[in-house]
Amino acid sequence: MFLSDRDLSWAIERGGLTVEPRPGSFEPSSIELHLDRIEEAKIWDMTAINEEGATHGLEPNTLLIGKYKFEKFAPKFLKPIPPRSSEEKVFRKNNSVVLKPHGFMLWQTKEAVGSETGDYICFIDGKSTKARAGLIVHLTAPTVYPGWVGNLTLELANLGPFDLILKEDDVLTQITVAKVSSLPAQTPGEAGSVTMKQSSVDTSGDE
Amino acid sequence: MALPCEIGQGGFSGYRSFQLQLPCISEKYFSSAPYRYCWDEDGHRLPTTPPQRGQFVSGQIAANVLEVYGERNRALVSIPDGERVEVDMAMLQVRPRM
Repeated sequence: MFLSDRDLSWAIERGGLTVEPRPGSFEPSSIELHLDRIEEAKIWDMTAINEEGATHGLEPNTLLIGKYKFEKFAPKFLKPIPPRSSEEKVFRKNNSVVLKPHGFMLWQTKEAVGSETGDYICFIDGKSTKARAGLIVHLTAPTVYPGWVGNLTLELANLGPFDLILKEDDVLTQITVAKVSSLPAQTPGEAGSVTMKQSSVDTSGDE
Repeated sequence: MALPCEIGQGGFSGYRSFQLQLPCISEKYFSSAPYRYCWDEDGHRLPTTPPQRGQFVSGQIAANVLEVYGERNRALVSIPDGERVEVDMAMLQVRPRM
């Protein structure tokens, strides 16, 4: 069952649901999330990725997606949004980021959300009004599993005709929250794959 | 529980990368996780400013013990990047407060 505004407030008060910083207000059955500082807007550093990929015999701009793991890639290959250049689909302009049609970027939410106790499951959702301008805020993975808490990484893409101007504190996304029927037998980590011999980060994802 | 590790900058400010020396491999295991699952080596919360890119400091990462292999003195643990790794029992430490 999804939580109403009253139950969302109560769940945060009780400590089962984490939303930090705490929301100033609630929607009827969701909590709006905000874009973090502009320094938390990132794109993939394709130059660095291609350099490392070449050492593994990969063609430029290719990725072995089946072996790729975001947690290993992100610290090494994400970079801040650069200032404007003619070929970029994403660039920084003063305190804004311009996302041109067909551009793609990542941006952390200001709020860390989730349920440390495992009582609740959260779902990221977009805002319909923003979507109608062509903005996508997450791709395929809306679930914040019980037991995990952290800042959410939004996958922002522009499928519309406009150059979208994005700023810190913009509300582009929201979470809905549901009560889990009973405490999960596994934590998110326990449900993961066994890694016995993973070594350093590499673009081939070889293990 | 928690594991000793080296902590560095993550992809975003809410995350930290970590390196673990696992008994099964010679190279260090590298990944990242929300910073709330990481502590400094004394068990204190990490400073909000991460280390410079490429720099690592001694710290701890949360771990849940899934299975103990007493005969080998090893344990299978889950770590906050969603993976499971095998560690020496001697690596396991009491988890600091979240």
